[in-house]
Amino acid sequence: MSTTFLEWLQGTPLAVSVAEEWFPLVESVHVITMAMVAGTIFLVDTRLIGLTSTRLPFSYVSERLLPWTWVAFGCSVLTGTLMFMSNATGYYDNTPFRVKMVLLLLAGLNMLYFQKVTFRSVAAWDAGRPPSKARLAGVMSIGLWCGVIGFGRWIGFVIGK
Amino acid sequence: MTQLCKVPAAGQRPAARATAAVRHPLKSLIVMTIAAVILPAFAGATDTSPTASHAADHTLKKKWKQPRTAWGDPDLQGMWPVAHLMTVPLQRPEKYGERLQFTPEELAEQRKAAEAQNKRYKDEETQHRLGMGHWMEETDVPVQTSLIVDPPNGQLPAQTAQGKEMSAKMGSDWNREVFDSVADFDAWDRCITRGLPASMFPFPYNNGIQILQAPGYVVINLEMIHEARIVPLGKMPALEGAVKQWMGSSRGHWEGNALVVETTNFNGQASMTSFPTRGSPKDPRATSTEMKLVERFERTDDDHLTYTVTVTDPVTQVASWTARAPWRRDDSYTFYEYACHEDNEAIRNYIVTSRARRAKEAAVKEAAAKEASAKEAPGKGPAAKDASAKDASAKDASAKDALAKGLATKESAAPKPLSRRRKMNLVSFSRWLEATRFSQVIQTTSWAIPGIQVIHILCLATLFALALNLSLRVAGRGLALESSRSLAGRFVPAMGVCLILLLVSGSLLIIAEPSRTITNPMFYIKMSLLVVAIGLTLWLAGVARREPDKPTGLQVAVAVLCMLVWTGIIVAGRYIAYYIT
Repeated sequence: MSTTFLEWLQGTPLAVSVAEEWFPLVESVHVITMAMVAGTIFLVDTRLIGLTSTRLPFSYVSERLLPWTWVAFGCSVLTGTLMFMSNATGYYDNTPFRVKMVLLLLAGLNMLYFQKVTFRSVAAWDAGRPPSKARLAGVMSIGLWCGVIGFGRWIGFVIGK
Repeated sequence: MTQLCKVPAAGQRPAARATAAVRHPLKSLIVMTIAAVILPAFAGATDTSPTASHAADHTLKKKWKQPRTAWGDPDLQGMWPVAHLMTVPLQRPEKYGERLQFTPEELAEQRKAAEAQNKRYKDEETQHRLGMGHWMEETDVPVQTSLIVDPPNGQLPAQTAQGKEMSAKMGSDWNREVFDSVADFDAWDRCITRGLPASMFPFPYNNGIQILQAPGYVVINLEMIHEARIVPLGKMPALEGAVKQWMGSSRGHWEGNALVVETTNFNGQASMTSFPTRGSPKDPRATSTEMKLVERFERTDDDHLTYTVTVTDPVTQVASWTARAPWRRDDSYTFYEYACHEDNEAIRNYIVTSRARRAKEAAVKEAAAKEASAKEAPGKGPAAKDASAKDASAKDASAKDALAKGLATKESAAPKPLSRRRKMNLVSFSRWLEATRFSQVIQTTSWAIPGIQVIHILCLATLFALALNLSLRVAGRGLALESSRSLAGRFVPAMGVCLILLLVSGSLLIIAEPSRTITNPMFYIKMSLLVVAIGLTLWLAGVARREPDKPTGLQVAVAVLCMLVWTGIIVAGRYIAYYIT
């Protein structure tokens, strides 16, 4: 990405006001929504693996929880974008940030593959123990999201201004 | 340039004048003023840099011709940075007596010292370590022993009684540590100006001086504070006496090829000297509205210019003084952007820090006094201490001028005994904890704190989602297919596990960085909210176990409140990092 774009981005009035004033609040909202995203995903994933909520059908659990996940994810992306803008060149140069983005992408691809391929046969295993392919998706999802959070927190320890 | 042969004579004359100065101050003043005009005629004669005197020799042989501007004035234009003079002190170290130049041995020694200094900077950089910081590079060591050439001992003349009194009232962040108002800072601290003549002397940075000319005007452009001294030439009348300015009002004229600039109308608020200029007194030196500067700028060849300044201020000093230095042209030099205490926060931060410090010292003093009075007979030590403290603060207060009134609110710093003492105990506890071996191990393991924080966040996310589902279920929503009793049976123990992991990881973080939390109000807000959240969650768990058919209004309200409190815990937790104690 061109640094002139990033420099322009962090020079916009919105980015400047986040950097100078709103950062702690934006970050707090980011943490809350992140907790909601990860927490609800963990509950769905552990059901998918067959560890929790086994008396409830998988599709019911995901149907009931994932709307919360998506709303929170939307807010997370919004607050994350604001934080990125406030120090665009700093985040862009930051290795943990890049790793986090890659892991986020992988988590998305994992979810997409599960939704488009594995989930089709849900009727066969909805009430019982999901097939190994589905369980693997659950394990990968938990791992990737732990990575997203871990690298996300790490950004704060190494980011330069 | 035949004056070159008069070098020894120039060294003699001022000595005679200095004696006169002691006997008859007024007479000496007149002599000084006359001298200020005559003395520059010897410019170049006492020119001390080897390159400059070499240049002068050169001039003698080749008859260097002063270039002229298109409108016929001598052309002084160009960049004349004074960084090469950085090692020349304003006042001469005593050991050199009345000597203006180093001996070859002394010079070799000085150059060695400068090289050693440059090596220390270099070592710092190769070791990726910041110690002194690479502020100045002593690339040149001119042969000159001081900038001041008159009085002949190279020292600033004594101050008058009034001058001393005025100086004592001036503050600067170089000579004091406690600040109560803007009046405790000097003009340069406040990014206003370095004043005159201080602005014309070398400094650890921003040494650029540029001369620009236009018909009827000369502009002396300064890198520091980006000040432009605009000097009208010729017969423009002097500014009215009542108009006072930080940099005074300058008028210039040509004497042969030399530009002579006379400056008056100073506001008398800036210091005459600036401590970071080597060889300057640490304390500010007062100037009065009567100060007068006579400066002379004379080119000696294409790349050299002799700058001379004579400072007269009958109110603050018993005699005038003259400094002279060879300037060197460097058109490749460019001014840096000048920025000074950004956001206008620095002064306020200094004052706030001083208040906090004073409050802390008062608390310590009070605690010591209490302890002493508990041990000793009553009415002995502490009373005397109190009295001296009062005396000191009264003195302090009397030193403030009108500017101080708006800002100095010492009362706000008065300690509230009880809460202060508790804080002191917390501070000492936090220091003790920080020094324990266990804390040291966590602190020195690079991945420990980030790792523990990640575990803390993962547990927090899980607990948050579980609390959300319990609250939703009690409100009759969420995973409603499952009975609320069964859901509470699964989720509440899981929340307990998360909470324990959170408490363990949180405790480790406190042990690792006690000063971040133990004295931080945000931390206590977070902990109070945690107690409330646990109470509300347990209440909701109790409701869920009773499996009511329909949630009551109160139950829904508590469910919502419970989630708000958990949210508040996260916010308070994040703000711990931003609330600096």
